[in-house]
Amino acid sequence: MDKNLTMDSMKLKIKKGVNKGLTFFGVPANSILVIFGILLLILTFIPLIYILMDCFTVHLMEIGLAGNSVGEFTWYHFYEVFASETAVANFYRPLGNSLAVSVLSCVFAVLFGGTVAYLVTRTNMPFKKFISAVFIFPYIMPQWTLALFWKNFFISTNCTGGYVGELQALTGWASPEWLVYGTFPISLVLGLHYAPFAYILIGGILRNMDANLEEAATILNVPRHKIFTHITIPILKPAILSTILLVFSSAMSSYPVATTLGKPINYQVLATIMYSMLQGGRYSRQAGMGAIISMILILIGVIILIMNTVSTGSRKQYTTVSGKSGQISKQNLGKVGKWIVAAILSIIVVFLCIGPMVSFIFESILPNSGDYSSGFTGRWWISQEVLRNGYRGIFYTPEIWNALGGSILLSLVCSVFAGTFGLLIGYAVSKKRKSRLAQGVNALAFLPYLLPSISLSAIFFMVSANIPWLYAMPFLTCVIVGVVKYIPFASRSSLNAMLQLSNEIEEAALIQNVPWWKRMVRIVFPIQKSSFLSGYLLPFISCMRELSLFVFIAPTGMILTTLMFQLEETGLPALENGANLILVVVILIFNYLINKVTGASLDKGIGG
Amino acid sequence: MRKTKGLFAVSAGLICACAMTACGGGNQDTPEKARNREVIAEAQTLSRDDLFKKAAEEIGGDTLRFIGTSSRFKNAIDGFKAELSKYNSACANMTITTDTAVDGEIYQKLIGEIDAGLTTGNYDAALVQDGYQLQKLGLDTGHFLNYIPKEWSDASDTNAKLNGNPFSLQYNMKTWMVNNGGAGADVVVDNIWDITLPKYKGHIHTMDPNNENVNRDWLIMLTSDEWCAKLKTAYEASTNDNKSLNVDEFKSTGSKEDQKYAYAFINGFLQNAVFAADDGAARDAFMRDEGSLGWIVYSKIASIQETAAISKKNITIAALGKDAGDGKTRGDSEIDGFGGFMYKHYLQIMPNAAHPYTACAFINYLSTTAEGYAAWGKDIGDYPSMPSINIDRTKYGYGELAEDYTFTQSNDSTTNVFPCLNDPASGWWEDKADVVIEDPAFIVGEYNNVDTFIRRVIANK
Repeated sequence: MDKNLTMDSMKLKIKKGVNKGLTFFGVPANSILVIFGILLLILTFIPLIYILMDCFTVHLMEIGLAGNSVGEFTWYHFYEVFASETAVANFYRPLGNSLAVSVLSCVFAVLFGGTVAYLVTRTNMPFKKFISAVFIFPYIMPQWTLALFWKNFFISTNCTGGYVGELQALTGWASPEWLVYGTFPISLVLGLHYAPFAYILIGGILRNMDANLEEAATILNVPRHKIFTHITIPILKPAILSTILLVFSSAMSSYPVATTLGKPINYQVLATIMYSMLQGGRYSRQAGMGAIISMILILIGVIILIMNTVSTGSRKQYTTVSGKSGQISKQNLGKVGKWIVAAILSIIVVFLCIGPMVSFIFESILPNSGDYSSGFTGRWWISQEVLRNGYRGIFYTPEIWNALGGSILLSLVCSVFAGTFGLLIGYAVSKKRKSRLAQGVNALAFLPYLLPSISLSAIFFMVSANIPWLYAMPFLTCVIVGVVKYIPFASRSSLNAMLQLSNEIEEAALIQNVPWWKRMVRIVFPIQKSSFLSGYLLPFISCMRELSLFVFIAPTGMILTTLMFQLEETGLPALENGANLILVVVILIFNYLINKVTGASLDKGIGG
Repeated sequence: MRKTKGLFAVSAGLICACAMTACGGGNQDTPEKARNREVIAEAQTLSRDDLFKKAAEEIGGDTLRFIGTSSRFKNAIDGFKAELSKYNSACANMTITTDTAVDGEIYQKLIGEIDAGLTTGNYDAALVQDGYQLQKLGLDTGHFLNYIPKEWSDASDTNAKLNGNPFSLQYNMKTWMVNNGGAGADVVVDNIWDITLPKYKGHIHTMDPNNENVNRDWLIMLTSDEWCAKLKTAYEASTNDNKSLNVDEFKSTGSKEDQKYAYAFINGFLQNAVFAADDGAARDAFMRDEGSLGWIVYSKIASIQETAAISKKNITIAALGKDAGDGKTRGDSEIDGFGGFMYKHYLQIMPNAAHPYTACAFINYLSTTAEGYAAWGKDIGDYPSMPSINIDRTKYGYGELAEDYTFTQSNDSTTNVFPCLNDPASGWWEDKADVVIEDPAFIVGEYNNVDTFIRRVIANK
């Protein structure tokens, strides 16, 4: 009797549990959170544990210094980073520089990107299409392009190792060194490079927001600046915070700009120190110190992430896309004013966005880098004769075109997976944003962004080397590491879009028993198409010009960026620049095609 | 929470498994390594023909996995395939991978594969540089296998003691160069201590030793007894324009009295240097900075295109002097101290190579035949360890320069257009220009002391 009772209660418990599970997993958002929670936990914790282990253990190259055998526990790296006689120069000063650069970059990016977004979406300024299309160029181009343009333009005889640059040649005015090297130019260039983040995120909200609140305030005679600070800014807060999060983290770990505009005066940031320490991967002599600096960069990122999570999880959240109709009011800049503003903005945009692009094109047709004295040459593109090391002109070098095909394929695959995963994560997090699971998955989805690319590459190389079938497929390993690294782009973009979307829109369909996938495909996606597509385009762009992430994994000719190193090493920088130009053009073509096919694009989403 | 802990444990377990496998490489021979040792021992006794025959049988239409810090080896692939095809027609379909990586990255790839115990899809052989990493990661661990071609051993112009173990394909040279263009026309560097003069602060273009290991290896080599003595002699020579430099400040830095010269020089050089991320960038900055100096890989100047503003005519190789003529008839070096640094490109076979005969044959082809070495031989600044296979470059600067800046080189010409390109043979550089030559064993011994000093100087400059 008792036995039967126990059995029954057991069955009941199991049934209850199954029902509970079915109910839980019957909600698509829950299933998504659990699946991606597990996946991300494994994929982000593997590298994190590796990095942590590197902080505390002796490496092969450190035997005799840090300990006597590989894998032995040691505090040596901590002493070297924090307390040795080079600690100030190798850690504390670069940390200060990094923080200064990152904060200033955020200021420049938000101010520049936000202002342009506001002018494009909320005023009657002319030339919007042009400005909007051109404004994303700095992000599409590799970071060092703008840095090199800046250096070539402003460098002067006042600088360390300086010579007569373009501005000095044109005007005779020699720029001071602080304008060419150091905190200010690095921050400005990074700010400009990441301004499209602000433009896309802030502009997306400005374009879609319901103007009822602003109009109500106008009717109540609230001054314009008060409307801006008390209504517009709070609505924009999630986008501004997302921008700050992305720009700050990116600027903290940016290497090429700091190298170009810092190395000549020995100006170091944490990223340049870390890069030189980790250049040899896990066999580097300073891998342990590099790991500690990686952890510090991750920690800083996590702090910003927590601040962001607290903010997006709080009640100060505003939906801007509701089921009700709304029309944004556009500020009238005046008959003359609008032309003046457009002219000034056009000049700035042309100088900062088109200038580097043109200079970039020139670099592939100049005899020597930055040397305009004898005009241009087409030989780097059209020579059928061997130039050096078996390489002909770009048009006649099949390795370049094969590698381009590899880059496009890898970027497409990575962007499809990262974009879709990010979209689903963004959707699920927004639906369950008060739950701990959602907050955890949201944080996990952003974590890979904070992991240094070069560390990820070395770690995934080591992991794949232990799995022979995976090692035999470097493309697959590249896809895995690419998807992990780029999910944050898509999840942030998707989360932003979803947070703007009022629940009532989906609820209306839910009442009609419309299945989840149909709601996603027919309602959610079409409304926020431009933001979601950004979640696909951003990984595509980043993947196309990525090197560090694949440096240990991809064979030399598999993708274009790894082949570029060979072109540089061969003494053919013009071919390297030409290959880079091809990458940029391909990105622009994809952006254009997506625009034509879907009506959305990086800039179009904002209203250019 | 439990779930999270469980997942964490799974991840940690996976990592530990990977790490343990990674640490398990050790010195013990795997069956593959033992077999490859035997193959190499046999290959060293085989003539090129016999070795190629064995290689052709082994590789057929398969792939030899090769990686290098220099990509020039890819130019030798077609010739090598044609050679093997004479013995086995299937070799016409064989391939050789053309992977390239900088000296830091290449060891991560190679040692990572070995530590993971990979026996399929791994590299067969590699062309590496940086004696320090080679010694620590490849040789001291017993990982890399050394093969010396029979033709190389039998040749009369090779030096087995210097280049046999680890086997080096060639020397590459970094050398002092001066930009004598425009305002810098009168700049002369005839003593190594001139480099430390305050007037050159911010005007010595080179790579950051933190980014390029060979640029650190050179500085470490200077602390050897031989180079300390030469630095002392140069310091005391009448050509030294910086005799006021207080070398005694560095008396207690090294373990020996005379090392003060090395440390004083290292400090002076690093204080004056402007660092670039790569040699190409250093060369570009050097070419625009009139009166500046460059400590750059010699071959990098070969790719400079002549224009109205940039010309190789303005470059003076300090050791060769301003009007360097035919390299064959050169006298003494024009600089007291040392004329450059020769670092080596080593050829090594991986322990788990799937095609050991083919790896040996390819190394043989690259290092003992003029056809195989031609890819490097055409460039100034590269010198094979078997000098007889090199191309004569002693009159590379002679020829005609057209109005459109096209240069046609001719050994028969009497017009010396670019004196900086008249590259003497390696023998001259070693005997007359007193170049520093990389010695991995010495570098490893002194590395910790000098590396700390270098990092401190760079960090605090």
